[in-house]
Amino acid sequence: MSQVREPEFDRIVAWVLRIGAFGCFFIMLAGLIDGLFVHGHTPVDI
Amino acid sequence: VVTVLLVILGFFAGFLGALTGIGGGVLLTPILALHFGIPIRQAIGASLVAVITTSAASSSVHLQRHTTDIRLGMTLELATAFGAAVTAYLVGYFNRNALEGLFAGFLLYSAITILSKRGKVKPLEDESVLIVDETVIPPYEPKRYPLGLAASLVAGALSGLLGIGGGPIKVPVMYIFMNVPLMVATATSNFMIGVTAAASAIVYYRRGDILVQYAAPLAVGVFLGSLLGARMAPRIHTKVVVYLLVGVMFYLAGHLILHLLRGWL
Repeated sequence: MSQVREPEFDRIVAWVLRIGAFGCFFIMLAGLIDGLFVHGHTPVDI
Repeated sequence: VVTVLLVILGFFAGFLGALTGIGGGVLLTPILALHFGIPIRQAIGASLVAVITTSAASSSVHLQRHTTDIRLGMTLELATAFGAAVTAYLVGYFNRNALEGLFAGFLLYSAITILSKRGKVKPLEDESVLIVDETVIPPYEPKRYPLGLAASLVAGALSGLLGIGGGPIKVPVMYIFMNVPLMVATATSNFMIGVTAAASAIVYYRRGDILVQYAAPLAVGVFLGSLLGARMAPRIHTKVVVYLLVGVMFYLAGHLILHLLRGWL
């Protein structure tokens, strides 16, 4: 039955995704602030 | 001004994407290309980043509510990833117009079928409702796996060709053909589209088509919008989600048909 869930597994995957999502958000926020307030070329290569 | 508009656009796309499970890439790509004048490949690149953000942010909320069917999602995702990989190699052999026409036809058919269902799912007999951590999951059992896998393969192929996450195919297929409730279908699709979009995004990043000036404001708006959308999802009536989903599907079908007609005329 696909209806059955594994709550602990769901929770762990949710945490991994949350860390990824917040990581992406803060990196993109840094890019946004850079674009708005820092003038001139900013290197984006890692 | 453009940056602020991109944040606002991202917010609404993320909100809608998290609610309906379509991710928002299919909405963002044409808007970015047509109204913001961004070259199509860079528009797709920015949309893919937005889809990944929507998927990660909203899936974390849906998963905590246990509405996501991970087992079903990962099974279908295998076919999607295979379809995307095959298309990446065979992209030159496909007739893009024929695929766009098929996609538009599928969207119209699905939108009309969903409207006729209006959020109803036939419950299984003698089956009790499952309650996990206060979340009520209606009884269901996915049917027609081969059809679901075939549709996921096509979704993966279209993802590579049109730069979408495949959500507009996955949600109706799960809901109409596989007998999965809409709340589970949208949550599972949200979980899957991030994986599909991430695979495509790597190709676009390596080609230099993901530009931070477009992707950053979109991702910030999308993140906030999709978190809000996922949190509001249980409070919004299924019928509202149905009408939103159908509206998006009609818009996309219309957009594709117009694009095809412009090519012929």
